[in-house]
Formats: sequence, C-alpha cells, structure tokens
Amino acid sequence: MRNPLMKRLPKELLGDFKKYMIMFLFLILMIAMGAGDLVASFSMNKSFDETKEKYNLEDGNFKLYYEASDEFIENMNKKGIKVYDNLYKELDEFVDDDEKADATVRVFKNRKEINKVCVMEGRLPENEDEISIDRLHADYKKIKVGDTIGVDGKKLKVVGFVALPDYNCLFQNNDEMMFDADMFNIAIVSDEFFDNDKHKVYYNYSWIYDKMPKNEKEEKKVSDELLEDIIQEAMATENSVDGFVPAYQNQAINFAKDDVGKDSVFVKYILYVFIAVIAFIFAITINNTIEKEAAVIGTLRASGYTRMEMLVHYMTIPVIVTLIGAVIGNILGYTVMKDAIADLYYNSYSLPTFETLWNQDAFILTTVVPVVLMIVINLFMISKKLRLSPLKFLRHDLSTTKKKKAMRLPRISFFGRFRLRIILQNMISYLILVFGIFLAGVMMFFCAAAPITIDHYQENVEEQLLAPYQYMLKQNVDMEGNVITTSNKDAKRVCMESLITSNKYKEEIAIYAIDDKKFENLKDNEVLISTYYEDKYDVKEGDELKLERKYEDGKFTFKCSGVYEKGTGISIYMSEKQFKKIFEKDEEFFNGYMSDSKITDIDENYIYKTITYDDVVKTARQLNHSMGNFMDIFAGFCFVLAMLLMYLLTKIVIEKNEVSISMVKVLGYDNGEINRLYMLSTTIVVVFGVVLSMILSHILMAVIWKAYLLSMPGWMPYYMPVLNIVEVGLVLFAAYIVVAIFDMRRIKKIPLTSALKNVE
Amino acid sequence: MCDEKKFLEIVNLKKGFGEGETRQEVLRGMNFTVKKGEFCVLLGPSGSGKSTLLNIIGGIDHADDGYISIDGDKLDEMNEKALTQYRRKHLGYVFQLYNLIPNLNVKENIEVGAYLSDNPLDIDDLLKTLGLFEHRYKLPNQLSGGQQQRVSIGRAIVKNPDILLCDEPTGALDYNTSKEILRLINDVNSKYGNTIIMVTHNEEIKKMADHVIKLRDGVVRHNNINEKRMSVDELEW
Repeated sequence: MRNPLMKRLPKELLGDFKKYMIMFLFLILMIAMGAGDLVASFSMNKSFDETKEKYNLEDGNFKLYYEASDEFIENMNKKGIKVYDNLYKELDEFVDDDEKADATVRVFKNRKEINKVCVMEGRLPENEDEISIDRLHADYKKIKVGDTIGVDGKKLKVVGFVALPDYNCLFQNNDEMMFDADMFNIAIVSDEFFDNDKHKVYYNYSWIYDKMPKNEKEEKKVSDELLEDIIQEAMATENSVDGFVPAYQNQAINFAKDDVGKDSVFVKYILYVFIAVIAFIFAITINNTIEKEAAVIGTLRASGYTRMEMLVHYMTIPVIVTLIGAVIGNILGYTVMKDAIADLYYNSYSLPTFETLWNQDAFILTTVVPVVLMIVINLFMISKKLRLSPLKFLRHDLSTTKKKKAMRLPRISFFGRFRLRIILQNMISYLILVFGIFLAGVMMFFCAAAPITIDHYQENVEEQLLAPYQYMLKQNVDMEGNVITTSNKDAKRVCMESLITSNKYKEEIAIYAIDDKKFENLKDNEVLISTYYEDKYDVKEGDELKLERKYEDGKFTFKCSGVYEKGTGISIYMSEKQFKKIFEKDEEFFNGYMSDSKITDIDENYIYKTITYDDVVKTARQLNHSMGNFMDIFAGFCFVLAMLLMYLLTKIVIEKNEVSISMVKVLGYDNGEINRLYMLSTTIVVVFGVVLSMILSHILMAVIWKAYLLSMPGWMPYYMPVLNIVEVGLVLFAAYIVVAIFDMRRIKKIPLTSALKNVE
Repeated sequence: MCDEKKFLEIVNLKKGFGEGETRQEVLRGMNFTVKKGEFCVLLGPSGSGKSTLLNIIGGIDHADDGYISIDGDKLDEMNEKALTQYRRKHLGYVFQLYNLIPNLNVKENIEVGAYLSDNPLDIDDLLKTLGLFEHRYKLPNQLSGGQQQRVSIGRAIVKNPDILLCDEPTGALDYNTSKEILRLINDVNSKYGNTIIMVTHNEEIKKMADHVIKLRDGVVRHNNINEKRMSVDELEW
C-alpha cells in the first residue's frame, strides 16, 4: 500500500500555492541563469582552446622601432621560435560625414599563416577600396556590410565583418586597464591599400614556439629568455625593442577568456548561496508546520510511524520542488539563457562563432548540487526537531534544548517588550531575512556604485590631466639631427620616462619632470606621487618606491614625499633637475611635449605615445557601454528578489504567530495596535538589515573594487557618496513597503476563532 | 506466549518527574494484569497517574522502575526501534483531541492507520461500522466532534491492534456524542476482540467495562472485575 501521507503533498502545495510558486520560480530563474552561463562559458572556453590550432594563434608578439632585418629574423628563427610579420598601421576612422575622427583603426594585411582571420559575415577585401572590420566595433558604430567608411581620407567599402584571434578583446595597448571597442577598431585591408598608404608602420612581429612550453611557469621562463635574445639581436642589428607581449600576458587574447571564467565562478557561487537561502526558507516553513502539527505527529509516532517516515514525508516537497525547478531551469538555461548570456559576451568581445556543447558538468552542478544542498540543509534543520519523542510532540513540548528561564528584558514600555519578545521568538526567521536583505542589498549596491564610480572618474579625470595633449617622443632629434619642434604656442617641452613597479604587478609607472614650485624642495630621490598611485598601492609619505626598467637593466628607488594633486594615472613627479640627474640626461634633454591644443606638425614616426582625454576615459566609456542596460535590469532583479525574500519570511513569521495575533484580537486589540506589535517588529528588523547591508556593502565594494583593479593596469578610485548609499537603502526599504501592505492585509484577515481552536 | 490471564502484566511500576526538591513520584509501584480481549478502564482523579501509565503501556514513555510485559515481551528490554515496531504492529491509540490530519479526508485519515498494518481491516467495512461511509470524502473540518473522534477510532483500529489505548476519548465531547463513542468502542471490543484500556475520570463509565482499576496517588487502590457489564444506554451521568 502506498504511504497515504503522500496524498497530503499535492494538497499542501495547493494550500500554500503562492509561497511554493514563488520559491519554485525563484529556483527556476537562478538555475536557468546558472545553467545558461555554465553552458555558454563551457562552449566558449572550448572555442578559445580550439583557436590555437584552428587559427594558428601566436605565442606572443614583439615590436621593434625599425623594420627587422633578414639577419634578425634568421637568427631569431634559430632560437626555438618561428617569427612572422604582423605589421600594422593605425589610421583615423570616419563613420560620420564630419571632420572629427570617430575611432582609430589598426589595419593589417590578410594573415595567411598566423593569427588567421575568422570571417563572421561577408568576405575579406580584394580591392584597394575595400575593408573588413571587426564585428563588435561595427555593432557599436552601427556599420553594416555594404556601408562606406572613411579611413584616413579615403572612402572604403565595408565588405565583411571579422574576428581576429589575437584581438578577442579590442585592447589598443596591453598596458591599458580596459579595451575600447567604440574608439578602437581592427581591420583587414588589401595588400595594395596597406603598401600605398603613407602612414608609419608599426613593426610588429608574432612568434610561434617550435615546442610549446608545458605550462605557464615554463612559458614565462622561456619567454623571459626569449626577450633577452630579442633585445640582444635587436641591438646587434641597430634596432630596439619597443614592446614584448607573450601570449599568456596578452590581454587582447586572454581578457575575454579570463572574464568568462571569473563570471562562471561568480555565477556558480551566487547560485549556491541563493539555493541555500531557499533551502533555509523551506526548512523554517517545515519547522513551523511541524510545530503546528505537533499533536498529529505525536499521534502518528505513537501509532507506529517511524522517525524516518516522518522525515521523508516532510523533506519530499522541498526536494521535489527543487528537482522540478532544476529540470525546468536547465531546459531554459540550455535554450533561452545560454543565448542571452552569449549575447552579453558578444556585446563586449570580438569572439569567433562558437558551437553549443552539451555539458554534463553543468547539468550536475545545476541539478545534483542544488538538490543535495536542499536535502542537507533541510535534513540538518528538520531532523533535530523530529528526534523528539512522541510524548513531547503530544504535549507540544518542542524545545530541543534544556528549558531556560525567559530572557529578562530592559525596563521599556509594554509594547516595546512585546515587540522584543516577538523578535526573539522568531530569531531564526529574522536572521535569514537580514541575510537575504544583505545579499540583495550588496547586489543592488554594486549596480548603483559601479556606474557612479565610472561617471565620477569620467567627470573628474580631465581636470587632473597635466595637459589635454601629451606626446612622448622616441627621440628629440630627427633623422637630420635637428631638434624636433612644434609651432603650437601652448606646447611645452617635458621630460618623461616610463618604468615598471618591482612588485608582482609589474605595472607601468609614468615619470614626469614638472616645472612647478612644489618640486623645488625635493631632494635627490624624493618624489611626489599621483593620488591614484597613493590610492591604489596605499603609499604613504616616507614610503620607498622600487621601480625598474621594463626591458633593460636599471633599478631605481624613490622616496614618497607627498601627493601631487594635479596628475592622473599611476605617476610620479619630480623636478627637471632631479630627472636629468637620476636618468643621466644632459641639460638640453627633453623627450615630449605637453600642449593645450593638438600638435599636428611633428612627424608621427617620431611619436612614441600620445595621451589625450579620450585615452584616459576610454576605460570608463567601455565599462559604461559593456554594462549598458544590464545594471538597470540587474538592479530590478535584485529589487524583486529582495521583495520575494521579505514576502516569504514575513509570511512565515505571521503564520507562526497566527494564534497569538488572533488571541490579542479576541482580547480587544485593534488592527492598528496589532500592526504596531507585529508589523513594527518586522520593520525594525528590516531597517536594521537594510542599514547593515548598506554599511557592509560599502566596505565590501571598496575592498572588492580595489582587489579587482589591483591586478589591472591603471586605476579608477571607488566613489559612492553617502547620499547615493542612502538612496539605495531607501529603494531596498521600498521593497519592504510593498510587502508590508500584503502583510497588514494578512493580519487583518486572521479570524478571531483561530485562538479558540485546538486548545487543550 | 504467556498465560492468557496475564496478557498485559504490570509489575511494580514506578515513575517520577522532576529532580531534587521538585521531584514528584507519579507512579509508586503499580501492579495489575489485564486479560486478552478485556475492556479495562483506568479511573482516577486528575494527577493520579493514569495518563502516565497509559503512555508507558503505549511505549511512548519509560518507567523508572518495574516493568510491563505484553504477551510475554518486556517493554523495558526494547530499544526505540523495537518500541516503534511494537506500537506499529500491536497498538492503536485514541486521544481526547482527535489529532486528525486536516488536509486528508475521512477515508485517507483511516488509510494512514491501515498503512502500518500487514493485515488491515477492510476500510469500507470499517467506515460502515463507524457510521462514516457517507462522509468518507469529507475533510475533518467538515465533521462534528463526534464524527472526528469516530475517524480517530477508525484510524486506530483499522490495523486490528492487539491493544487499543484510549486516553479520555470522550473528554472533548457532549453527553450524547460521548455515549455514541462509548457505544462504538464497546462494539469494536465485541466485534474485533481487541484488548481495550481506557483512561477516564468519569466514574459512570466503569460500569460498561470488564475490569476496573482505580488509581490514587500513584498506586492501585481498587482492582475489580465487573461481573456484568452495563450497556452504554444504561449509563447516566
């Protein structure tokens, strides 16, 4: 005979339909997101792994000041690698019909041997007036195949969209914090176009190892040795190294994969945290049911039902709801969500096409693990109660610990003490409520803080620029030995240098010699640092700063003497006198210009690097674009999530106190007084939860933001004013207001007869 | 198997609650036997230990000293698992408050008891005996107190237990309904031959029983066998 207790289950589900439906939908949504993300990321990772072979992805690249000689190439090919040309030019791109360049486009000839092109749409260019551009950049600029764009004065027809395996992420330089797919494009042009264009060539070369290093540690060792070889060979052939990026360090290749990986980990853990919250809510609901049905349970146990039969009975609903939720969630994840999540990545990265791969691990992680979590948590919470003897159940004596005396409360008003008792009696429910508010609050906080921080950076960074246009020269004399000058009246000659930190981050630090009275009193190696340097590395006055040259020998130790307010990026500042002494330069030395207006009369072949406002805000711009509407949607999701959690948990509290609420009605308390007792207790807990959530979120956000950016070049200080924090808190509290309206109606509906039923 | 006369044997049973100065001895050395198939009433005022005694017989409480043996098996030698099996196979329980499962109908509530037995009684027959056949699809909140108690009795006897323990089964019912229930218990005893042990404080009910045990201050004060049982209709209180 089938256990007749099982016939209760559908009636239980229907009896509390709203509550179970909310938890069910919640589980489906979370598992769908988790499954979708895991499938998308697994498929993408497979695609990333196949890129090496499919497109013959480089193992690294290096740049030289001048074209590599045949001797150089020949000698390097004997060093365990094969070197390939990967030359490019950087030109202005014009999408609109105005005179302002809309982006910088890095053009390549078609790659036939290394870093082969993936054509996403259309074809590769065959004629001089044709171009195939990056798919993502085309999206940003709303360019279609067949459109015409201007590239450095010429009109080119867009014949195709491409993705280059060495530019999954459109980083213009590897030392940038963030890519900028809006202002930076990569494109394939015909050989004729490339050869006929008069702009300077960047002598970029890619290499492939003859024998691939076994792991990243070995790859680092091999690439370090290779760099030394390249430097020596370059010097021997009267050339210099201008850049060296092994593949494992190349952000353009790895950023997307790393991001996908990090997101997967994050999504997985968030999924499990929320499943755990739902499991606790189930457990509290069931414990409440057990308390309500104590006499029935006692009778059943007295009649011969075993503890295991009761445990299985009460665990069945949470397990079935989770299992069905997981199956439906997986179906949604593998279909709808996988595409939605892939679209998010395609909206940020220049990825080649990928094939959806059915992932057994994803199924286990999003089905087995949630069910196991649900079983374990409920087992732990419920079995303790069911261990009580049948007699205790019959007597409604359900305390599992030795009876303690009632906690003495402070001498406050009667209503105050009543409320305190309500809070103490429902402590577990309230603790989970506070935790749920904290979780939703942290996520809402992030949705608010990230755009605010980015916008604040964008608004303030321009003020901190030393000059709107900064030009770092490769040399200060031209080929004829004449000093490189400009006719810009507002241009000033400057001395600039670039070193890297000696710590594990090896971050590039800009050194500026400034003509400012602030530096007059600086002695020897004393320097001022930028606020960003101070902020990022917690540098204090008196601290030593150990820096070194990136490609050559040379170590430097400076002493921080304070902060130079007018300066951006990770920089240090000193007087010209100090600069020339430390870097052993003569009196006439300079290697850059700072100007209020754009300098157009210096041959670009002599310019090593240009920094403008656009360059420093590209990070902010890209982040804003990548996040797009996502933050608003996610914030909305968190609001709904907070509301659902509050609804579920406050409902449980009211249900648990139903008899008491009914009794006080019988005694003559009106609805207002009952709300002041029961609703206010919950409100106090919610307010506490919201305030705690905002404080902890602020601290957590500052810590996480810093930890996240520490490993990336550059800096964007975390910024979240108190007013905005309060705003987020109020929005979170608004979720409770909506729930409170339902709760007050529920309390009003509790009949007076509840107090008079089943009283022994 | 022991002597039929000693189907249920209680020997020097002692039970107390609390510790130290607050300790109360509820059972101070109970001794009596009950025959198989007997209708036995435990009488006594409030605090005399009758419910405690019933709970120990039912295996849901433990004595401090002495023992209970049922058909030769001593309860104090059984561990918790064995006690659960003992209750499952041999006992039926009826309480003052019916303790029905609120979202199962009448038939389903009785099935809850039938599930425990390898050889349950026919549920539809039982429902007719209980006078509940036409109400079999109703939920407990659609029944009167008397009807609910009938369901609770049905749940207990459907597994055809050797012993039916009734703890103040008429305590929450009015006079007429109480008589209904007593009539039913009597019929069950006659029809199925279960040994019935009923706890009550109602002196009048003792007249319908075979065996009357009066408790006071934790000991048996009177242990009488009624020569003739009165019918329920003849009872007046």
